[in-house]
Amino acid sequence: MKVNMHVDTAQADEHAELFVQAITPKLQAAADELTQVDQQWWGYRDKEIVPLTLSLLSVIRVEDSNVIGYLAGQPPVQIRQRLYQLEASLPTNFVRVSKGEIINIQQLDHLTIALNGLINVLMKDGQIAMVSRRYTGVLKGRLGL
Amino acid sequence: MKKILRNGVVGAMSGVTGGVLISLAFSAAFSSTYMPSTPRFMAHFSSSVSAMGASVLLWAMMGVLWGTSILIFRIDSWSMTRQTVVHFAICYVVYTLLAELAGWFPQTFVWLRYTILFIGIYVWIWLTQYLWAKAYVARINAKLGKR
Repeated sequence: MKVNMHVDTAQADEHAELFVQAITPKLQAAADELTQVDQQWWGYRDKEIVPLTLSLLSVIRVEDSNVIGYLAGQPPVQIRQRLYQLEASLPTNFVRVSKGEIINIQQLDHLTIALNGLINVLMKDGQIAMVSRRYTGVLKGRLGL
Repeated sequence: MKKILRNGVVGAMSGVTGGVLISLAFSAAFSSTYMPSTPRFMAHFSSSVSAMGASVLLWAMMGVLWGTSILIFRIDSWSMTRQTVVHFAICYVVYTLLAELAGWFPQTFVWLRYTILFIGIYVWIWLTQYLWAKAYVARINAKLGKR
């Protein structure tokens, strides 16, 4: 399919139009992805509401029953949604890796294995998450393996 | 909790089934009549009914042990080394005790060889898991390197 992009920084109302013969599942997925592009996510920092830049969000972790989002180059924020809600609604580059952690695979640097057998995820911003065995398949799948 | 109970029940049933089949095979091979365990074990009982009853109970307990202890490997917050070591400690102590009560060990039992074999099995379990995890990590890192 031919795709035209009209790039203009002065564009006020960003939108996309598709001229197609029929809506296929693939097109629907692409449209869903596009509508999510400008979906705004919010975090809380010292009672202040701050917009979240998803691409900077590295690890989302449950700490003392609070959901904390760690951002590259920014102080962490508290997120009001529960982890399972985030898992279901965030874009597919966010993957659940353990009972209490979701990571952004775009921020994933590499994996290490400790001698005690724990698989750790090292993020580009220095955050460390743990992959529990139950979620190893999910992570592998999202990375296209 | 529900899982522990379910694994315990299934384990007990499997234990009894396994015990019956194994004792049947041993009886067929070494004796003309059915005996649930060794002659040394049978000597403790006045009737074959009580010997069988005690054997069934021990088989069930062995089944409960294996069925429930396997859940240790599902504790996600534990490292695989900790899981393996704790599982080994529990099973070595409890299983050895139950097997001894069931009269499965001969009088001239070589404890050292038994213990080394037991440890060997766990080393093999740990090694298999570790190598799997290592290959997993290597595969993902290779993929990340290409991106």
